[in-house]
Amino acid sequence: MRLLAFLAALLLPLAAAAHKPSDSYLTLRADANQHEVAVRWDIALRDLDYVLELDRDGNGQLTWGEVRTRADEITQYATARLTLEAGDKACAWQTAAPLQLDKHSDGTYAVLSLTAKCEPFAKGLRLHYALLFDVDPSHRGLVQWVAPGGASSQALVFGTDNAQQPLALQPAGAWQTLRQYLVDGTWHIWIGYDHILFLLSLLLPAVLVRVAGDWEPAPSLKRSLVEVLKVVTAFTVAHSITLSLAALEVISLPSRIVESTIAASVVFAALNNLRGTIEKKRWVMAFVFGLIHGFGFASVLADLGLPQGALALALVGFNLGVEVGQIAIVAVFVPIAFALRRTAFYRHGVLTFGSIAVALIAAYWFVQRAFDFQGPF
Amino acid sequence: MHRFATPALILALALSPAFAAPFTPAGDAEVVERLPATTNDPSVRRVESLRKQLAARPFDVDLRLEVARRYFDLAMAQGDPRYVGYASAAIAPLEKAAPDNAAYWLVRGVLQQYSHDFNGALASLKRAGELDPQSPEPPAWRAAIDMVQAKYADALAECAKLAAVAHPLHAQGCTAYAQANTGQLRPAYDALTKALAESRDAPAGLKLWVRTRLAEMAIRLQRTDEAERHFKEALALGITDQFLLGAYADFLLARKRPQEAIALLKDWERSDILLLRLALAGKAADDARAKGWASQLRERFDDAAKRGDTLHEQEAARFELDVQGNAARALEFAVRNYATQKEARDAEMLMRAALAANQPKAADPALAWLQSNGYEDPALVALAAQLAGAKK
Repeated sequence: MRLLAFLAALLLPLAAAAHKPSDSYLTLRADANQHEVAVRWDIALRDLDYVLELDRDGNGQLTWGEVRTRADEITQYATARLTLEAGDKACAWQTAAPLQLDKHSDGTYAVLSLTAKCEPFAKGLRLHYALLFDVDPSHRGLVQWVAPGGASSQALVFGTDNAQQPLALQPAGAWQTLRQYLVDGTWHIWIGYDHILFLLSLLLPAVLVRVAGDWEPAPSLKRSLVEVLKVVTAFTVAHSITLSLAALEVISLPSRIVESTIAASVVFAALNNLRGTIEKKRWVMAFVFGLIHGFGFASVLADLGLPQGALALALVGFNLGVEVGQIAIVAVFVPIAFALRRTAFYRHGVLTFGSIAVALIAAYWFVQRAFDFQGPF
Repeated sequence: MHRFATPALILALALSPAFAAPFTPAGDAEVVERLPATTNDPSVRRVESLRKQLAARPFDVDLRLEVARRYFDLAMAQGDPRYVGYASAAIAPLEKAAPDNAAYWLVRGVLQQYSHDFNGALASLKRAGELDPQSPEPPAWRAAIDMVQAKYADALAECAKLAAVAHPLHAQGCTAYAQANTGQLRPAYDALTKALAESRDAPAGLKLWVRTRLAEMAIRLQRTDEAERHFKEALALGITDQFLLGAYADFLLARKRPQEAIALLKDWERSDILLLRLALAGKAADDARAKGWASQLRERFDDAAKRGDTLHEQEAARFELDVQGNAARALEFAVRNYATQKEARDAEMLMRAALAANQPKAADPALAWLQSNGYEDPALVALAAQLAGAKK
């Protein structure tokens, strides 16, 4: 605890320089028994000083003593401006723990720990927020609401125009979250041409075997399926790893590097079909480049926004969605390719010229993404 | 070009703590926060003392307006949006208490335009102008809002009103600014240069504004040396103006002089729009602080998104495109920004983002603006040509 406070204090000179509008941060967590809500409320000391004149000696510096001795007054001031109603009855505020502090990007905040004792929630919960609106109408209350039995939170913004809002009693169900991200994942592979082209480039030769430098039809469907399975599995495992690491913010790479490497991977996979440098171990290539494709998926996932508290579920859902999309592509591609594998059309038209076309398209993407040739920067 | 970050660096970034848990300081004497009144800025103390007087005399309309105006000036000078909120709160009771007070409608209009409520602002300023036809501020602000919305005929009409009540240089600057957007760049530049030379008595703030506008016009006329001279003369006036600093920093960045831009802005991290320029300059100059500036900006844009703010979408677009290299997100911001703001730099942002995201059609509104007004700027004309090529 002390170490964290010390680290935070070191960050202060940098952070205090930034200006942002006034916000307070609330986390409301309903208990499963439906008559209590635990509240953590972070309010900027600067805002509290503006209304309560905490800086008694007027030297422009707030000491912990100046804050601590006014803790009851701060709590009273705040709770008088926050009403939680179950049915038509206001819940009673209780202080759950002594006032503490926390650092946010724009300074130090008082942290109030409260408990609301309520009637049973069955008739509906409503939150009325009115902190600081009288002195700063641009103030906002940023609420994270965790419904009874909910794992994830819902974000609500309270402002002068929406100072009262109902709190939904049904949490966004796990199944709902999973399904939503599954759909997003499927959709992304479907519109992500670069991923599809990479996969197809690796799969094109799966229905053939190279004999003495020339392509021959694969002898059996089983052999082709094993080849497809190896490539798809390697790609899946690899991009799942990096997608998870990036989504959990363990690793991040600049999107330009990721996007241009993805384009390069498509070029490489397509050209490999012509030269045949990597013959037997296409799955290794699928794995290596799959790692970088995972970062590409992660940026999409980041744009969608991840639910706090249901991160794992969203990740699994998105990953599954990507797999469903892949399987759909494979299910269409393999039977057709297998049926056509004996034809010259497939071996020359599709494999050779198709690969050249794919390589050209991807090379164009690469130049676009890597050199960013539009604009002066 | 980017270079690959070393694995050690990636790990270091990953391990830095995002949020500290709540804590209890060790002793009562520990300083936990520095309040803005510590800045040796007498204007902060002055407005605080006026606010205390207001608490004792809540029905004093003039005092109320004085407090609001001072808070707004503080917001402009320090880039601190809390002061805008305080100003709004100060004037709130006056809608009923002083409905015929021109100064109230003026302050209200100015605050509304700050939060991008342009239609509300135009209406308030119209009322202020009707109640006090001799005040130059309502037509000046209305002209500025018309310009932002690319309504040049309306802006010129306001400039004409201004001629009767304002300093001649002010009216001339207003007219020249509108004309320079509608195919008369060179005559507008020449006329404004002449007017400035003839107005030695003009207030410094007005001179600064005119110099900034002249610099921008000179850039479009490709008279680089003249543009730089205007910027330097404006800076020499000794007034802090974020808009001037931003415009000069952009000039330096476009001329590949990022080191000078960093020197110019080094104390301005607290301003979002200037921090963006710092991040761009840092990146261009390979400065060690560039990553820190970029991550500070990222955090601020994320914070703004959480509270639903849309005040800095042009900057957000530029950040996504030029710092993060995320063209798709840049285009989203640029499209939304162009729906409310249609100045040349907004159009340029939309065109660049549309090109980078390979969605040339998204820039159609900016192209239509460029063509229908005959806006003269070789940089924008070149972008338009690229967009036309990309559509084929």
